[in-house]
Amino acid sequence: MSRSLHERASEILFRVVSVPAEKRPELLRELCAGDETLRAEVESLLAHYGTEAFASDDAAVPLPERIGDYRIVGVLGVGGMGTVYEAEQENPRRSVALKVVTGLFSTPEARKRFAFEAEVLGRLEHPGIARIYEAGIADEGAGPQQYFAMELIRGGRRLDEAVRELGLREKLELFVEVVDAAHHAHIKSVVHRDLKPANVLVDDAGRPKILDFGIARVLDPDQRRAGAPTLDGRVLGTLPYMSPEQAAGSLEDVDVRSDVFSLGVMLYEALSGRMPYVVPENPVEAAAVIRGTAPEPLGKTHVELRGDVAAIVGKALEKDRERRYQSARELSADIGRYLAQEPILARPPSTIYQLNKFARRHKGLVASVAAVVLALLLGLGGTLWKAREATVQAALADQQRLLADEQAALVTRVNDFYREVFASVDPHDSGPDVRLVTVLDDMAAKIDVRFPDHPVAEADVRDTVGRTYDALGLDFRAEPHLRRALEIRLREMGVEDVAVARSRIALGSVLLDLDRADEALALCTEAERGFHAALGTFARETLLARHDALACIARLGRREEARDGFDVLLELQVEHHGRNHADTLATRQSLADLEAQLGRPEEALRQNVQVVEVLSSRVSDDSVERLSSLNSLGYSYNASGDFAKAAEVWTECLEGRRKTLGERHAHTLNTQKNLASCLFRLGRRSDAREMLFAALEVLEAEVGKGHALTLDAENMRASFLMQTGSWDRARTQYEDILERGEALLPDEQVAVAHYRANYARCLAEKDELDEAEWHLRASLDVLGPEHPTIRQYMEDLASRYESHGILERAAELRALVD
Amino acid sequence: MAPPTDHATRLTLATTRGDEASRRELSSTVYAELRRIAGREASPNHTLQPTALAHEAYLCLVRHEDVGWEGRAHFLAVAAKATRRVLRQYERGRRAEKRGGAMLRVVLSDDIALASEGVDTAVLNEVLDRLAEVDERQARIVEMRYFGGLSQAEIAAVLGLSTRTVRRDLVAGHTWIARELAPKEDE
Repeated sequence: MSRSLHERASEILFRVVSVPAEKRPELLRELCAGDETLRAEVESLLAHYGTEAFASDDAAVPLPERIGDYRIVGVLGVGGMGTVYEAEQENPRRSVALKVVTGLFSTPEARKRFAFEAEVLGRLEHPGIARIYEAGIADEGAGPQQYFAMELIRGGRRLDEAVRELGLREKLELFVEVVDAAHHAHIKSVVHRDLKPANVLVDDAGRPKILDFGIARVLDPDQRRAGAPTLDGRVLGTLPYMSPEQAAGSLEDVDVRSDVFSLGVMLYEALSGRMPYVVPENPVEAAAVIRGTAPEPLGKTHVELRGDVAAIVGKALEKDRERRYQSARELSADIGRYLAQEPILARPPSTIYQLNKFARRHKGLVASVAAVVLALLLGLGGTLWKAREATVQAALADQQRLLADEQAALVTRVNDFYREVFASVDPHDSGPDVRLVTVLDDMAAKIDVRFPDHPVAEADVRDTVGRTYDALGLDFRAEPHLRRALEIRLREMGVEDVAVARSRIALGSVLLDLDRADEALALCTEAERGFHAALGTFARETLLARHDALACIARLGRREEARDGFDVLLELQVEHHGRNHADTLATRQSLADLEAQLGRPEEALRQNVQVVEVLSSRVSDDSVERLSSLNSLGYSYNASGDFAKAAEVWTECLEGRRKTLGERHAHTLNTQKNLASCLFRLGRRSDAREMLFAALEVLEAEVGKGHALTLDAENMRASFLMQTGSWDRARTQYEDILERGEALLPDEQVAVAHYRANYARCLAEKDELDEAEWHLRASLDVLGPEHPTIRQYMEDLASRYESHGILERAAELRALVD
Repeated sequence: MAPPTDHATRLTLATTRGDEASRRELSSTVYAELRRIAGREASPNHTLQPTALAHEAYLCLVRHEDVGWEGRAHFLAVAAKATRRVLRQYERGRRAEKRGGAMLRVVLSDDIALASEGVDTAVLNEVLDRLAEVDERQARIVEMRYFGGLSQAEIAAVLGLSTRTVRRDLVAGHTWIARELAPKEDE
């Protein structure tokens, strides 16, 4: 396109859009004066003028310099009632959203009323409502303008968009906040009258804020315009969310219950993704639909919403406001009851229903009670309600006692078993210092035969045995017990029991240690869901499960995704459990490790140093948490190239771990391996070899050759060989490592990718360039082109191609990492 | 936060007077400041508001009572370009981590309705580059508006144009970009 064509098209476009739509074609023809190319270009542009993809507010009037005491900075939006500017206030100094409405009232009474109502709005203070700082009237020469200075909310998303990615429970929790905020305004006698998703913004932290509370009323005290087109032809009080009494124009009937209705429509839409009924654009037809058409039953298309949720929404959407929830508080309280699995008010109280609720809350106990009670009720047919009630209570009390007895029996059974195992350890056979692992092995061997008829007890014992193995660093021995415990609990206690979630998370974290991140991720995600449903969104265990899930995601190579998740998690933990809580610190540490992997060692170092500082002041030097934070700190020094400092930190960590966990613990050996690699880089090669070989020997004895940790140590041994130029031996070792790694770990694993890259480097050294390239590319797919090792090896391979005169291949490889 | 400096304030005043060397130096100062601000605020998937970036740099660096209205406009004009550079840098970082799937989004205008849309920075930068090939001044005006947050009057003052021309170029540039961003099936 030539420069002049675009310039001319710009000018014509500007002129054409300045006239009403129906006059545009004629003006366009006239201005183009037979130049078809020009006309085609303008028409093509015109098709995109003001489109959603990149809407412009600049076509509107030029920005005023100031309005009242506010300096105008930009336009936030143009709506039915006027323009919203971003503005700066001098005193107090702050940014505000300035909503300006042009020339609506003229009489002094109207102005007085405006000022009064505006003052009422100014007193609405609630975290869920955007503050209105001031309202006033300014005259900048174009007639008096009313304006509202309101809290400016940046980066928020509309409610309907924000809920899209939420689950049912989260949606309802969010709505409780919205409804509660509305209630706050209601008790101050302010009704919104235009509640809709566009008027609720959800900020980055997931907190909703209602905009424009009460403004509709202040601007239009007589509701003249309810349901009627406004000055610019749009409809105020957005029809689809309007209550029947609003749509009917019964102005005196519009009260808080009208807002309740609008909230009901929003809730319906948020839960089902559609509207309760189709509202035509024509206001008269629309009013008829809103008043006469019953909402499509929620449960019809969404089975999961049947029952309580559908009942709650249905009650909010009652056409007759007397049958609706009588306040926003009633609505939010009922949602709250549903979330707490308590009986809701929206349902008629039936005994069966109440019992059902009780059964949900006390799973396992009541399935049989319900049967008992049902039998009783049927048998007692015509007896008085009071008598029935008493029977139910009695039956429940009996069952409670029964349950207590059963619990006690379970505990006794499990304890008996432990006692028996400990008693059977014979000091004559094993010596005075019996290792815990010996006892565990003994226990593990006996579980199979000991609990044939008591699966729940068996699951308890296996859970303990599994977790203890894990704590001893023997994750591979923990796995079968935790797996079996999970199976039993799923079968015996049902998928919703919190014990199932606990089993899942225990197994998941062991599998992650075993580098089977895929399966671990599925388990942790399920566990999080379970904790979430049983304990709530911000419960410790819920958030810890999320932490483990994110660790799996990171291990699978989805590091950016994991980092985002950790960022959010960290905020939640700080907010709900405190900055210095052990869980919070653990998340920070994970985040730091990830930053290091993402090539931001300074950030990782900064975080880690802080975590170590906090822990050093709060726990003993040899506590597990502090040692773990030291290990991480070592990683970040290592990643930033400060090997001396890394060696120092890892030395301290190694000593502590030897003291606390013992010399043969997996964590101890891991640190030992890390320290060895560091010493090697520092030139202390024989120290490094000695240390690494010692670690390898113990690893092979304790966890075996098939363990991820062993493979990692072997990788390091082979890399020592590479670094000293023993390419042949390194290559043979890598063949073996890679073969076992592929068998043990899924191919997408970060660890395998590292081994593969090193193998490729060995191949390149032996001039097997094709083969080397294949492996290096596979490794790059996992580690990404920014990974320093990949970049270095790619460059090496490229220059080898070059020295063979294969220039295109060299260029191709370099392009891969550029 | 570094306090407003005499240095940046002087550079801004000189830039307003048309001193080219000062403008270049101001540009690199602003760029460094923006990097600092963006580094603090940007996490992937975090929405950066370009105009907020530019304004914060202004508040941090310059004693606004000394430079006045014109100085602010000139400063923001310089900041608009620097903001684009910073966002480009982040974009590069994001692309490097191509497996991550995280994305730095930018809110184009401050329109609330648009805030949720967000347009990929890389795409916008690229489209704006193409517009610059067609009409350099128009692209520059759009850049000032959306990356610097200058008002139409401010742009007109900095470039020595009438506000009508600025408005025309904004409408046309905007529409042109909307066309570029639209799905291509209609062509």
